[in-house]
Amino acid sequence: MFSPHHRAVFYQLLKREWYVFKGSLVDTMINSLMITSFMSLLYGYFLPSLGIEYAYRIPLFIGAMLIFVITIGYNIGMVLAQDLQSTKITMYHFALPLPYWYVLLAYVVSTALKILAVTLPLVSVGLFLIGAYSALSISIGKLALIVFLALIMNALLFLCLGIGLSFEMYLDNIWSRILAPLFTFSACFYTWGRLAQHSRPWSMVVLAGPLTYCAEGLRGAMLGGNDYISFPICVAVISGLSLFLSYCASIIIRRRLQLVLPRKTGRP
Amino acid sequence: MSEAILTIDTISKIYPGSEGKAPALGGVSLTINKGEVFGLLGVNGAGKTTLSSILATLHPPTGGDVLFKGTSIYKDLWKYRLALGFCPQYANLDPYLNVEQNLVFAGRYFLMSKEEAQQRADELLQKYSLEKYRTFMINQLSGGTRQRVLIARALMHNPEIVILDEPTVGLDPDIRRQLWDHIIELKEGGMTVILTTHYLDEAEQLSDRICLLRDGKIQLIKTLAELKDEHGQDTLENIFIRLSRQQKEKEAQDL
Repeated sequence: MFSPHHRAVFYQLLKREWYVFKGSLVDTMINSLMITSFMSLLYGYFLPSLGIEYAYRIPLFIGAMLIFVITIGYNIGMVLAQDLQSTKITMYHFALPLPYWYVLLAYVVSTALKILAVTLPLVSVGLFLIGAYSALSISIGKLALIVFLALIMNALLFLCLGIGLSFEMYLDNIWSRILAPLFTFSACFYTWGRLAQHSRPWSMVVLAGPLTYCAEGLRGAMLGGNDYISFPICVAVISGLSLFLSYCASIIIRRRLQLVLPRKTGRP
Repeated sequence: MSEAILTIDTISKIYPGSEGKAPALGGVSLTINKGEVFGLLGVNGAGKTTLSSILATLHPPTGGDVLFKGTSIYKDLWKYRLALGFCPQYANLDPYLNVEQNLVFAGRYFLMSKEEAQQRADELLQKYSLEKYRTFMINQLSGGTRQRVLIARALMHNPEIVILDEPTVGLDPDIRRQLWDHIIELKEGGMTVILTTHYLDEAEQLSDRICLLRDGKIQLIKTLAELKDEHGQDTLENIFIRLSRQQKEKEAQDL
């Protein structure tokens, strides 16, 4: 199952992703820095001018990062959906001499790394520009764990959507039917604690939003304190969702792409 | 006696959502011999591409089995895939890599060392007159050039069997002829070629044996000489027309 041959092919798949990413690195960095500057303007100037208190701007900025993460995931999913309709390089990868879950793993890892590479400058420069460094109380271990889990969850979500839906369906409906409710009912644009102070029922609804745990976990890891949903709960929920999405991804891929699987007895 | 490299045993295919309709393939059985060019011929919708995609392990059959050297390909899928090169009808080249990278990565995916892959890519780039396109991205290539890259990619790891699904569709006559020469070279080199085509002249020029598919079933499998003797016609086109007429007459009688 973990033969050196399969690992060698898997490594080449990752290397291919790196080549592809390298090819668009400059554009990606420019886009990332442009968004950083706009976000810094919004959270460093507009919101304080509108009366949002200093301490609240930083958790909001961290939550907003997730919107950006989701947007990148959305783009990657769209590329997949488009490929399955036209170029079909995905089909070529799934017909290589290795188990399909290696290909799935390569896609997840590369998607997660792409998102990380783009958001890292955004977060670090952005926090500096809005003058948030003094408020940070980062726990490196917690931050690494929550970032890792959030990236994996997002990569899996958009792999499921990109492979599971037709390109037209993806392009026309994802924003309104999936992303808009996901953003609204996740504590990205607000903190869960503040919402709970104002509306207990809505705060319960927001607990059903998977991004709530990413946003609150990130806030907890970067800002410390007890104002956010407990860190172990965030880790447990995101891990559980990632496992569930892995299961969904394997089913979606096998069904949509009609993959050939090896059988001990031969005949499919 | 020729040695069988692939044995196709009552393969059937019903696509999901097409249950209750006529199957895309209805119990196809045949044997492909080592080192031959096996022509799969038929009109659009006959089941050629379905059969070749099953042989390329892109999709599973609904029933039946495929044996590679006597063992089910589904039992040792990776070994079979390593022995197989597939050139699909649609140019599924990697749009994010250039021509050379497409070839080198293909070699690396099939376990060639970096040096071997580079050497083989250089060889194929030269052989298929692709050297000047080495650094071109796929979307900068014409249809004919893409097709040559696609064939070169399928041959990168020196497979034992290569499946060419409609390799000359939409190509200029001179490029078609060049590709024919390459296919003959492959055969001379001992490779088994499964050639899917609806061009009768192509099947006639290249195939050792011709398999005519109709409505997902085998209508005949014969050598060209056998067909000419049997039907008293000089070209495959005339034989094909005669067979079509016979089929129509039979259908009319059945009605």
